Amino acid sequence: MPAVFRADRHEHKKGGRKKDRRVVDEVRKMDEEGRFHSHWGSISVFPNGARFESQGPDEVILLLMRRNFVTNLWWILLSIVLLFVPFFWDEFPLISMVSPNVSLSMELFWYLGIAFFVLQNLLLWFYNVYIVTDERIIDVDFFGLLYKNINVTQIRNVEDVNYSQIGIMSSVFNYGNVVIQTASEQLTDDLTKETSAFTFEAITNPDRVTRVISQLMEQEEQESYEGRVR
Amino acid sequence: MIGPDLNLQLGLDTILGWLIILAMIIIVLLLLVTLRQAYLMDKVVNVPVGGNFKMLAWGLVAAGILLTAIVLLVS
Repeated sequence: MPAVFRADRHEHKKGGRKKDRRVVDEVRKMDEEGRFHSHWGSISVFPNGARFESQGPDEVILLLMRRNFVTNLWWILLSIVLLFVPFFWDEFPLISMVSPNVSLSMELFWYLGIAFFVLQNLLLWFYNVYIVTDERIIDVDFFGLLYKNINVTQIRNVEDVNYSQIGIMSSVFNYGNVVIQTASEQLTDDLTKETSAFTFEAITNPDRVTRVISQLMEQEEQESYEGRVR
Repeated sequence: MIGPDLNLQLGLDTILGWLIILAMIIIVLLLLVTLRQAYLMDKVVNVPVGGNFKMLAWGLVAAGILLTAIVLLVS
């Protein structure tokens, strides 16, 4: 079918008038590649059915990102090792003295503790997300059970964006940190002690994410120049 | 002799048994907090697969209560 007859999936009809979405080339390319659509992945382009608190009615999520799964290896391996610890309890003289009932209780406690540890890490990995919409950048940070920190900025406040890949793992699995400097450049008072409030940690394909944000900044500048600021 | 004669014998089993019961109750409480946290996180970022985490958290809370009951019974 000729392209002229195809409706652009990123255009949205509202009140009978087409509203042009701010979808940059890099996002389109990533969307067409098809490998960035899993909700479990490190990058999800146009995540289907995903929403976030304070999302505007017309705001579209372009990218939803979280740390590369490889960064979870430490606690997965640790959990596997801890699973086998009760098999060697009898080697410890004090533990070998307790009755079978207490020994069973200790094992149940041990495995419940591991399950709690796994659930905590899984939740923190899954919900520590970075969101790029057509209007804003959102950094959602959860720490432990009772602390959350959410940073939001408009694309027009972004001044500079860069990324870094440090270490063997990040080179092999192609992930890195994307640092976004905003106009205010207020550092966070959170526990990460990041160089910027908007630091996307251990993101897959940091170069492409950087390109997306750069293109959004260019587009914002163009719109500002043409007097089409939202 | 000062104080009542309780005739209390504290063995390793007794002390460990009580400690484990206490620790199990703390973990169940932490799991309940985690369950609440899963709901709050899902409210902040609502992803379709987030329901799986809620189910997992519910499952672990149920398992925690069950295991605590077993520990109480065997101790």
